Parts: sequence; structure tokens; C-alpha cells
Amino acid sequence: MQPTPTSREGAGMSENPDTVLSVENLSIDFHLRTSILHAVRDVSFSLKRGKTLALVGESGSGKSVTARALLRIIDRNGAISSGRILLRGAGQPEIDIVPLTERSTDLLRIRGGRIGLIFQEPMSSLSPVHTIGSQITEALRLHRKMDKKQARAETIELLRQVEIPDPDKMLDRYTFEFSGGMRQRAMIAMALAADPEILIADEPTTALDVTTQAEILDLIKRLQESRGMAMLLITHDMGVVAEVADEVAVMHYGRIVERGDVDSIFHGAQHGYTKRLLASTVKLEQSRAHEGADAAARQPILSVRNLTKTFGGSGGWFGGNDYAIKAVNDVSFDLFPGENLGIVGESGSGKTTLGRLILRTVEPSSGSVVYRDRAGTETEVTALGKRALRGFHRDVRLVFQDPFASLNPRMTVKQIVGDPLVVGGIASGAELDRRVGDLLELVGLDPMSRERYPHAFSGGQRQRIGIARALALEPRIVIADEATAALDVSIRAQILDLLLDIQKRLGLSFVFISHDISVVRYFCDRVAVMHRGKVVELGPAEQICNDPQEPYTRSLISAVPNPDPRHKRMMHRTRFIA
Amino acid sequence: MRTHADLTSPIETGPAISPLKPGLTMGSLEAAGQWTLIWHKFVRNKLAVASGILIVIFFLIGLFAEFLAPGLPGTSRPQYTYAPPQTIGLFIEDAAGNRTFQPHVKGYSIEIDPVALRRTFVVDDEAIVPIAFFVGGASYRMWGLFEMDLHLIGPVNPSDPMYLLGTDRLGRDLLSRLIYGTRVSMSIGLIGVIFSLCLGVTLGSLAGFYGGWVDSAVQRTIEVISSMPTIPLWLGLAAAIPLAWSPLQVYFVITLIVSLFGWTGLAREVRGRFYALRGEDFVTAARLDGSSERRLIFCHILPSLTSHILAVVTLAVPTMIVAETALSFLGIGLKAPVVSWGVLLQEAQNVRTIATAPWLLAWPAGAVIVVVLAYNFLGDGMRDAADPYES
Repeated sequence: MQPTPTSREGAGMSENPDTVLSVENLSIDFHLRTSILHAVRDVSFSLKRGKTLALVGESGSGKSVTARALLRIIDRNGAISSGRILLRGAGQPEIDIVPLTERSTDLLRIRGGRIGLIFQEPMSSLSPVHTIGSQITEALRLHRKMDKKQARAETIELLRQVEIPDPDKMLDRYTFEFSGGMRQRAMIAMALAADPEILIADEPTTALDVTTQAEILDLIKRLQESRGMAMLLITHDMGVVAEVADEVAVMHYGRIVERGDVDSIFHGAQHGYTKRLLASTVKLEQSRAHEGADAAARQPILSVRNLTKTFGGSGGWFGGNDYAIKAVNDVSFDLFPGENLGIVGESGSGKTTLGRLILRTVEPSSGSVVYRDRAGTETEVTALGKRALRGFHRDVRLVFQDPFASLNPRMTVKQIVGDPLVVGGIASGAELDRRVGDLLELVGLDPMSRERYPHAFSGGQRQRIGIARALALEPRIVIADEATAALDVSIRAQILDLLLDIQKRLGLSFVFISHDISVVRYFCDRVAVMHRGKVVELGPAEQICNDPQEPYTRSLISAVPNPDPRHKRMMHRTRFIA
Repeated sequence: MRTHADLTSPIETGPAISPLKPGLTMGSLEAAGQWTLIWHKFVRNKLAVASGILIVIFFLIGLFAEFLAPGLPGTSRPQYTYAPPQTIGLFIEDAAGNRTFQPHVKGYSIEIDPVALRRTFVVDDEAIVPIAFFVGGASYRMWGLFEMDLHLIGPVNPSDPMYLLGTDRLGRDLLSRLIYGTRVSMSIGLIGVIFSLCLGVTLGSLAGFYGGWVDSAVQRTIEVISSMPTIPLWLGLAAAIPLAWSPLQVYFVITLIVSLFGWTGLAREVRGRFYALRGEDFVTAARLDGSSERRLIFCHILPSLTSHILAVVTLAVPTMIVAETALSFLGIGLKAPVVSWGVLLQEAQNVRTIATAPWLLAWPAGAVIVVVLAYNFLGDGMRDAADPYES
């Protein structure tokens, strides 16, 4: 890495006095074992005082690497191969960050001092063994040379600014005593400690619930405006972009394919990729035309009545615990043939547990689940023995959230998809080969790839393999537990369409568990909203999403970012205080 | 306001990658199974590969001990007690100054210190002992099966002294004893580990898979066993071995005693892995596919564990070797005529011996250190490569 000559030509943006940082033709290469990955190629953008630039892209687009390059915290096997990162401050000489050496005082002063960073995962970016206060104080003492007393007072002030209640007490608490949203607030306070000119927020709300996300984005936006900071927001969520950003740069495989102000990107996208990205986002914003609306006239295929699961509250040999949590509390619903029932809720609402209770991988504490099989006989699932439960599991299948953990990496695709057939003694030899081929074709994979191992497939392809496995036994109900949560938005739409297509062909019913309102709106006929273990509202998807009745549902729906900068929804949301 | 030049470029379909070497494709690993991936990851660790090769060499030495050793381990020649190591020379110079190629060692002449009346050996430049490869020598039964007298290296005249690593108190060749000791010490580590492997994997997987009271019982047993002070217990157990037993019986009992304490760590490791894997989505998926518990364990969980178990086992072997060495060193493990590294070290127990014949300490101790280190490096390398799917 040689220091580039600071020629002024070609730096057209530098004339703007509001520009605090400009990146010019930045390229970053990663040395892999057998090849070089050009993670970032020829990227240029600039950050302006008081403005937010959103760097949008799907996973692997190089957006995080770009942001990290600004602080020079790229992983060891990566290096900036060319380009300049020019930092300009009021009354200070222009600095090119690229040629600075690793231990130079300039670089240390920039990191955390002039550029603050907020990470995605607030749990792992805060130290678990220090109090929140001491972590913020450290930043103050390092960058602003305060003494202990001053730093403590300033820390309390910072915590007050990020709206943490009782800052003088919370200061001495540890990370584990903070909720996810509070941690992210503390993280923001830490990033702001040195009064930086630039704030980099790397997926700041991805790990948070929608309502918390709305609050955090709200807070960041307000702080940024009041302090006049420039912000670089890294995100994959077009909704967040529309709500927060002033300018947008769309990244795809290491290149910025399109850049412009937020309105022109959303309402006049030029590049094919941007159009595709927006199309798949907007598609999920609308409900699809529903057919078979007359579901109520038919007999339900699955009836859940007063299902309850209590965790804890048991006395053990070596000390149990005294208090219990009702993870699922008195839940009742019906699932009709050919229907898609959505179960929506934030983390900890008990939606995943509910799915597991129906399958009895977690045993319910009380309540009943009645399944009506093909012949019309009703079975009480909660009373089934081990053998009979296996029969039930043939008809009711599960699709997992994580396409990486749910496929055994040591088995070939054929073994994975064919496993239920082999176990059930349904097919073997050439017959098995044929069935697996058919299933792979059904989910849109090349049947020739059946001898490969899961690591040869991308996330979306792996999820297709998981779906093929679920379909192998010709089920009647598929429980999809956050089946699209780990996927990029364009893949997400593809998988949803695949599921709908399969449903049409095979006449399946879906229980679709998700935290993502837009996915549920697109996919489901009816939606149950869960909050703290209870179903607070159950109704047609259209009505829940457009005209929610319960206050909790209303706050949830209104907190979902709207991917249209002309109609910002999140900032005018209804708040729910429980 | 729109500022970019790439607006008309087509949508790219993949990340930009340029290979380091031309002609290399990324696709070759796609159809590779776990062992191929583990191997690819393992060979990148040069130290581990070198250690692996070293261990294989040690095993080969143990396997062909009779052939490799210049003599027999038990042959003592009282006239050569505490004879120092010799060095191999390649050329002989005759009186005329002509150098001819002839591998040889120098013989000894004995001097008696007039004050202490102690015998000391001096290398005698005149006494040339010609040596050669593949010479006939003392006869032995190869693997106890057939009679042979061929040795890899030895003096051309079998009665000449050739002690490349010196001799011990009874004038026995240290090199031969060390080579025979390799067989016992290397195999005791391996056999001991196989015992512990059976115990550890069975109990560990039961505890990990079923959890609950099974887990509690196994865990408490492990804790009780690992809280016992090992050396006194070994002493007690070893003392209980009847004196009349044959060396072979003693050998097996000692392995059993050593491995009785070695399985605990292995069981814990297996239990931990089982616990982690039991909660993995793919195991739940297999359960929902209708797999029985046996099928879950043998088709889904154990294949994911084998590479980890191999690594743990490799790391457990050196503790076995060290335990055997310690027992034999204390005189309660293997006993003569069996030769192991620990038995050899027994010779170096007092300071006087170390002062007069330091090679008796250096070579056996060096062998133990080299093998233990090599096993550790190999085990580390294997542990790093054991899970090719992480990250």
C-alpha cells in the first residue's frame, strides 16, 4: 500500500464544504487460499455533514467491508489495494486514511475519536465483564482526556441523551442486565462519547425487534441531526433506507451500481439490480390475490385449543428455580385445508415454541391439538405414543429457519432429502434415486446436483433442499419456522413464491411463523399476532395488516419501515405501552 | 441528483474472483465429502503434518525393532560398562595417507584412574571397527515367528563393540534397548487409548444423548475418578500385580491401569459434543423424519463426531505414554526383561550415573519428549481440521 499522491484532480466532490469524508476509487482484495476475492471494486462516495448515506446491498456485496475500511479494521487477509479515503475536519488538515500505519497516533485518534462505529450485535460488542459505565468512561478518558469525575458525569449525560432511564443508576449495571434495545443504546452512547464527526452504523437494528428497531432508528436520526454528524448507514433493509436515509448507494458484488438521493432511487431506479431489489421488496409489501377465501365452511385440518407451555418452576435435585414463564399461554386456533396461517410476534413472544408444541418436539404443559387425517378421523396429538407420533410427523413437517444448521454437512443432498424415505422404508435403490430427483426438480434445483454436499450450495439453495426434505413424505401441513428470515430479500421472495407454487400443486396447508410482517402479509391468508405467549389478535391477513384492532398489533404494524421515502410510516408510529 | 457511471452495466451474477494460480477452479471441492475437506485443512498445517510423519516413523521403528536394532536388548558385556557413545566415521586413512571409503567406529581402550581406581573408556583411534549395512549378527525371532540374523547396521565382525549411543551399567547397547523400548512405549500408548476410547465414547455418548440422571451418574463418576490422586493409586494397583505373572500379562495390566484414568477426559469431550449436536437443527430434522434413536446416534451424530474423537484420542496418547514412563521410572510399572523408555530411565535415577553416563538420561528422555510433543502438535492440527464446516 503506497501513499497515493494527493493530487486534486478528479476529486470533484471535494469542493463541497459540507463534505467531511470522501472515498475515491476504493478497492479491497481478500486473499483466499486459492484465489483473490475482489470484495470492493472502485467504490466512490462522500459523506456530508448532517446527512445520512445508506449503503445498501445483500449479503456478500461488500458493504460492511467498505465501512470497516474507513476505520482500517479489515480482517487480516484483506487489504486496500487502491483508492483514497479523505477525512476533512473543520480547521484540520485533510488526512488520507489509506496510507496511515497501523499504530500511528493519527489512526488511533480517528478510530472512535473522529469516526464512531455502531455494530450489529450489541451483545458481542459490549464487554460482559465491565459495567456499561466503565466502558463508556474509557472512551471518554482516551479521546477527550477527561479525569474520572468529569468522565462519569459526561457518561451519565450521554446515557440520558440516548434515553436510558435512570442513567445515574444504570451506569453501574452490567451488559447482561440490559435488554437488546438498551444495549444498542449504550453502544450508541459509546460511539458518541468522543463527539465524532462521522457515525458509521453497521446494520444497527438487524438483531432487534421491529418496535425496538423503530425506536433506535428514531434515536439515531435525532442525535445525528442535533449533533450535525454525517452518518454512513449499512443495511440490507430497503424499508430502513426509505425511512432514514438522505442518499443511497446500492452495492452489488463489490461495486456501487447506483447512487443518488433517496427519492430518485426509490422512484426512478435506473440500474437493473436496483430495480430488481426494489421490486422484490415492494412485492412483499402487497398482499397477493387470495383464493379459497371460504375456508371457514370446511372442517379444520388442525385444531389447537388452550395450548399452554410453562418453563421453569420445577424443583430439581441440585436446586430448581422458583418462578415459571408461560412461554405459550392459552393459545387456540384452527387451520383449514389449503390455508396459510401466519403467526407473527417479536422475539420471546412464544411463536417458535408454539410450532414446536404442535410437533411435540417440546411437550405441552396443557391443552389439546387435534389433527384430522386424510380419512377424516380425529387424533389427539398430545396423547400420541412414540410410534403414532411418527405417523403424525409424516403428515406434518417442519421447515427450519437456518439453512446452514438444518442440513447435516456430512451427508450428500441425496442422503438428506432421501432420509425420510429411507427411514420410513418407502423407497430404496433406483426408486429412491428417482423420487429424490423429482423432489429436487419440484423445488427448482438441478437433480444432477444430488451427489453434492450442502456446503456447495448458497443459502437460498439450501433452504430449497430443506423444503424438498419436508415434502418428501407428501405431507398435508408444513410448519415453516422463520423459513425466510436468514435469506436476502430477493431470495426471500423467490422462496415464498416457490412455497405458494408447491401449495397449489400439492394442496398443502402452511403454518408460517415469522417476525417479518411483510412476509406474512404476502404469504398468509390469516394471521395470528402473538405477544408474551398469548394470541392477541387473529384475523384475515388483509385486516391485520391494514386495519389492526388491538393496540399491540397497531403499534407492531406501524413500526414496520415502509420502503417508500414519500410515505414514512415508522416515524409516525403508534406506541404501545404494556 | 444521480452520480454514477455504471448505470448501464449488466447485473453481475457472482463476486469477482481471480485465481492465484491459473487453471485452478473453485468447483473441485463442491462434491468433496468431509474427509476430503478435513484433509485439505490438515495439510495446510505443516507442523502437524511433520509431526504425523515423525509418529509414523516411530511406529515403524517399533514394528521393525528386531531388524533395526544392531544387537539384542538383553546382551550384556561386562567389559564395556558405561561405554560412551561412538561416532561414525566414513573414511579411513592408512599409514601412507591414502583415504579409503570405509564406514567405521572407533574401538575403546580402557584406562584406569590411578587415584580413584575407576575405569574410564578412551576412544582408541587405532582400533577401527568396520561397520556395514545389512550385516549378520545376533539371531532373533522376527515378530516371534521366524528366525533371522540380519540387522540394518552393525559391525562386520559381530564380536566387535559398536555402541552408537553408549552402554549402561551392565554393558548393554543403549541404541538397541531404545529401539526395543520404542515398540513397548508406542504400543502401550495406543492400546491404552483404545481401552479409554471404548469406555469414554460409550459412557460419554450415553450421558450426552440421554441427559438427565444418566448424565448425572456418568458425570459424578468422572468427577470421583478424576479427584483421586493418580500416582498413589497406580502404586497401589501396580503393587497388587502378582509377582509370578509373565511380563506380557504385566504389560496388559499396566495398560489397563493407565487407561482406567485416561477415559474421563475423552468421555467429557464426547458428552459435550453430543450435547451440542443434540440441539442442532439437523438432528431435530432427522428426528422429525422418523429416525429412531439408534439411527440418530449412529447415522447423524457419531459421523459428525468421528473427526473430533480422533483428535481427542491423539491428544490422549501422550498422557498414556507419560503415565507408563512415570510408573516404570518409579519401578512399579513394567519390569525387566521388558524394555520400555520408562524402564530405561530407571537406569538414570541417581546423580552419579548421570554424571558418568549422561546419555542414559538424555536419549530415553529425549525420545519421550519428542514423541509427546509430536502427538500434541498432530492432535492440535487434527482438532483444528476436525470441523471443516465452521465459519
